[in-house]
Amino acid sequence: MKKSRVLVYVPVKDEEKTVRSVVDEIAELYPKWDIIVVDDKSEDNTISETQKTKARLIPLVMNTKGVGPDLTAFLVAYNEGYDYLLKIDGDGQQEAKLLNEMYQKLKENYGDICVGSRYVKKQIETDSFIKIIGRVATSALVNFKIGKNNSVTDCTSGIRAWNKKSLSMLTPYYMKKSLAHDTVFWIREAIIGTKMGLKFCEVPAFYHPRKFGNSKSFSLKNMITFPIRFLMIMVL
Amino acid sequence: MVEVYSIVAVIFGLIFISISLVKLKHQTISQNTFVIWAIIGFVGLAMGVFPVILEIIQNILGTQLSISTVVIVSFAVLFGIVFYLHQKVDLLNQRITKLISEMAANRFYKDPQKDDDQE
Repeated sequence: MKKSRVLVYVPVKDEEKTVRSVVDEIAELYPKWDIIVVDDKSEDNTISETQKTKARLIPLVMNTKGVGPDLTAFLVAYNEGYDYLLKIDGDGQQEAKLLNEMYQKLKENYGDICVGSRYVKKQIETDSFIKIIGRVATSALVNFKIGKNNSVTDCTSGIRAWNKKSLSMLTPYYMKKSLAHDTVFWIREAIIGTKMGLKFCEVPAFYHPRKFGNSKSFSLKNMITFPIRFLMIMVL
Repeated sequence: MVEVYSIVAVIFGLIFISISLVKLKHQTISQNTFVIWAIIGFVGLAMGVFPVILEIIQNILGTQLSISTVVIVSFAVLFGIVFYLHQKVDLLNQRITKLISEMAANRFYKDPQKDDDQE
């Protein structure tokens, strides 16, 4: 039986305090999987910390505001012929065991893209009220748009997995078309993925509270511009 | 009687055409950029030499003063240029992001494996 090739990618930007523990945990749990850490031009010791791990480091030459690492991972997985691409954030908020759950879902053909959702199973929320309302409302509106074809309860979740089919369809699309802003990138993926005929599935995910640093996606500027960006994604 | 703005328009047109020609000759601007700014220069020159052009535009727009016509037309042209430039900058940003990702991915293929412990 052909062995599946799995690539795990960890996008990082100024995560010197957590990147090593995240990667070490993945390497310990899944020794046969390849791991890459894509650094979006960190200004702290993230790179030197990553070099102490088993992951292969791919540093970007310039900060790309969050989209570059995802695109790089897609390119590597697509061009190297990986069967699955799994993503986990480098801030330590997500549990590494979820990667296997998402992998199993894709392997058993439950879908082409698997999302770690905070809303599949009821859990205690650690985020602010406004963020929770924003996420739930966003996901509800996206589900209204994508209709009965797919259902994604957590459109903004950053822990997700792709199979070969979705990689082969999304990678050329992202390279050809204009890239969405980091805050709406995954929301747009839900919409275009559905249009391409890709199936989404979900696993329950719990996000630990952030211990170090601030969220790059949810800066004040991004939170103010997010409704406008979201509206444009939905309407156009 | 020659109006002041006619003289200004002629000087403006000649300056723009001259600068564009010099820059094109030194190859510091592309042919496309030269054409755009040379056209703007010629339009300014034409309006200075033939003020009747401005009167025709004035009648079309319904403005009472020539200067209002000049301001309105200039704003419209400037907005068009700004929109075009903004679109270009946006496109360049996208291309840079994609190029950075491709460069990073290519380094992944070329660099030797970090270790083979995972086999």
